[in-house]
Amino acid sequence: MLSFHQVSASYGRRQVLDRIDFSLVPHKITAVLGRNGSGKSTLVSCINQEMPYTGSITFADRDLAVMPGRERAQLISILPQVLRAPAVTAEELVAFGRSPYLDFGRRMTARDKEAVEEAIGAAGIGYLRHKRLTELSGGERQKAYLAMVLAQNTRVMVLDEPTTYMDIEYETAFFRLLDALKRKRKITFLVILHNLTQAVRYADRVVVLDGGRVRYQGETADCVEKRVLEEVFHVRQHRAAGDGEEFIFFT
Amino acid sequence: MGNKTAPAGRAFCGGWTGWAALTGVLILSLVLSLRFGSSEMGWTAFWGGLFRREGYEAHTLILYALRLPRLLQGVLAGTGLSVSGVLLQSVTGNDLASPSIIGVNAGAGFVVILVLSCFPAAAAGLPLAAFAGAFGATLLIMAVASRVDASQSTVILSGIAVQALLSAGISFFSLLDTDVLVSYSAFSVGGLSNTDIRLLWLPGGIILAVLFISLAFSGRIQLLCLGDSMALSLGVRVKGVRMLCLVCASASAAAVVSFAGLLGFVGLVVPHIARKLCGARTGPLLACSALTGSSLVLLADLTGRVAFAPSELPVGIVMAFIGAPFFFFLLLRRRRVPC
Repeated sequence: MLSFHQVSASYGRRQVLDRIDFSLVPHKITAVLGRNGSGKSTLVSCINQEMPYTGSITFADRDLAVMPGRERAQLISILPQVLRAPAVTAEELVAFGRSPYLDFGRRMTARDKEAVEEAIGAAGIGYLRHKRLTELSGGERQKAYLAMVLAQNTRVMVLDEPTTYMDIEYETAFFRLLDALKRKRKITFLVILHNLTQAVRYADRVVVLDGGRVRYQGETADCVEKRVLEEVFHVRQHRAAGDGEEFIFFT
Repeated sequence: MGNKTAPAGRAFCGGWTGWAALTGVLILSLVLSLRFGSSEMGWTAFWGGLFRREGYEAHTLILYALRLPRLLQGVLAGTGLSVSGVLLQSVTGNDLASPSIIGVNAGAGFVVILVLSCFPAAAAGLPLAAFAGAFGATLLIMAVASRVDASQSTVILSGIAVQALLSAGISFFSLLDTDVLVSYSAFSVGGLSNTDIRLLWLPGGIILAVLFISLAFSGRIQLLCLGDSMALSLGVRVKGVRMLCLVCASASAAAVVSFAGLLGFVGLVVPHIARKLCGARTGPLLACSALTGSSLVLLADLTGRVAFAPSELPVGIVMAFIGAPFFFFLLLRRRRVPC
């Protein structure tokens, strides 16, 4: 599974990640939490081999730094925080997700077309398929990109703040979708989140970054129990019960 | 969540009729370019000359020795500059990018004025000098950009710096000798007056090779519009594809400069027209740009030849008259990033 071994990265003299060590647990949603500038998005850039780092990031004991890009793209899909709006339709965008599997002629096989249809259905963007991205709202664009990474059909999905522009209804549906994918398609998720309530509600595990170092990693329930987030984020943790469920929220 | 909507804004070239219409316009432009010029020629004489019939030898000579090389130059210039423009707008993510952004014009101009100043007798070597200058300037920009991060903004910024440097060199040499400036101005306006068809083989080969390479890699080039991070995560070698596009764009534009001089605005205007006609997918966009660019340059050249006959207005000036207002139109309507 995806593992970080003593990963350090810096922007000039400013060290952003400092000897990061953790592994994802298969078929679980792991949320990475941290204050602004704690290195969450840098972690994604390192997985994507966009920025230089020391240490190693491995997938099944294979170093990502020496893995061919296409092979890496068949194992790990990444949804960055900043999403562009090119003048292509949502359906064309989703088809881009099959790129790592296409040959030089880039012809889509029946399997590729099926994967695109499945992804469109799973993300619920059938009604957007012929619309250009330039015509979509921020939330709709996020859904279209989510469908694209679903079509990529990888074992690990890395999502950098994926719900920023989504409304509350789709946000809930989105996390339900991640849960279903985790169980049915055995996908492992690494989700960068800034919303603590969301993280403790939907993630199975959390990794808390503080000053570029791993402050905590483990089960979400244990993190809540130890009140780690209160210390790191200088907030207060509350519990509330309703409709037979217990909720954790922060003020 | 499941109901479908109708496709939005079907492109003109969405089916075969659109492509047939574009090809028809190009064929019409070719025929008109051959038929009309400073020498009057009726349709009977035109067909007689074209099919080398007896009694039409003079018309055959005009068509094959004067107008055909011009026509080939128009097609090659339109294709080369348009393809170059599509590639550059794709890799820089900037809808106002054109071959000049990678130093093609400034590089060619600098080397041409350098040759005119230092070796006035070497006028025959100007096409080669122009190609070397245009290509060399791009290599310099790429070398600077690749030392940093080869990102879109680095390419644009290093292009601006190299252009400024070379433009200063052009100004310097033009101040030294006003005779050189006169010779240089003919080159800088751009035209299709070269009648030696043998000089077109090499640039023609380069332009066609670039078109085929670009079409072969169009799927990967297309993914650059998602941004470097997203393209990288889809397995694209972003730096490699970007460098390939820059080399191809430069080679194609430099090949055009070697026989047509600094023909402006084609690389800027045509990709936008083509995008309106066939949408944003890179493969069809390249093909559509090649067809549209060829037609546009041929029609601009024809206008320049017949509007003030028997005098001739260089195609570069006609293109500027069309291109500059279109550029303003683009600036006023600039809303989206191309793909």
